[in-house]
Amino acid sequence: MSNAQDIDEAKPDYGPRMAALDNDRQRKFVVGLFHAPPHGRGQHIWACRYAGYGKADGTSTNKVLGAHAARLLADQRIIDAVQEESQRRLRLLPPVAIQALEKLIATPSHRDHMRAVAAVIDRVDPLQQNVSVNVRHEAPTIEMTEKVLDRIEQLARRAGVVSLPAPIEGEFAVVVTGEAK
Amino acid sequence: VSDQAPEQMDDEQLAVFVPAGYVHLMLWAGAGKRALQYQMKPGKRLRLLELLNSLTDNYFTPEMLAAITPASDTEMEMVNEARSLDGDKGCAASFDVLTGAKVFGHFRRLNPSYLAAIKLRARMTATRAAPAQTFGSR
Repeated sequence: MSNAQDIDEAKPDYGPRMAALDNDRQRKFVVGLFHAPPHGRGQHIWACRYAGYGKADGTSTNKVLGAHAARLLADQRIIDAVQEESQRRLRLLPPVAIQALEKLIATPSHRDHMRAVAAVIDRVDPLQQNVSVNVRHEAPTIEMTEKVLDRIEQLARRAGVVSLPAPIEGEFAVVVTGEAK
Repeated sequence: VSDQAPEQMDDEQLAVFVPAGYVHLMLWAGAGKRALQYQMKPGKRLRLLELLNSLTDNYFTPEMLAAITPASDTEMEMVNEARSLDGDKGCAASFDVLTGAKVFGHFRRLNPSYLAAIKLRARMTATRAAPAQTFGSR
């Protein structure tokens, strides 16, 4: 359990969701989920044993620990804490990822060497695309419309068509004692 | 939409209640019929006839299309003047000018067949030969 001892030494400043858990055992269970051996099954049982669930002498069976783990993982606060811890760890990954990338770039014989180089170049000096769109809206001005309406009026007059007033317009007269003034 | 029955309206009122889109269609029907008077290849003539035929619908009936006579020189000049307002695309500007009450009034007096078509539509509505107009006025 040297791996577990190493983890014990680290006392991270947990986020609010981790801090909201009932006790350190639950917090250790969440941390244990991230440190469980990646291959094979039994990560939940491993995390449970690492957190100190079961008998103190370590004689609890996997069945018992599995039941503990299932109960813990059904708790919404544990689920929230796992999500918070996942995000925290993701933010800490870039140094490791950059180290791996550096190693890959330094190995020209690797089949993904060119992809790694291209990935770095794309991020440092990305290709730029310039798209220029000219939108022209040529609506006629009021003057232009007036000019055309005048011309139409002239054409109508030339053809002998008299312009009638618009239906809404009309003449009126003030009527005094039944007579129009 | 007016409360009056179509048969009680005078010519001006009837024309005002024709939707702008159909005014435009009637004007283009007149222009299309004028174009048919000219010499052209049979294929082009057929295409033009098909286009004219496609103008009709529930409101603008084939009878109305048949009632419209070809546009005169003056009408075409007026249409071309209005078309000069349009840009590369669309005909929104000329549409507004041509379908205006005053300009369409000129067209109606130059070519009485437009009013005849509108009256025909009113009669068809009254006799229920065609569905009534259910949309707004111009």
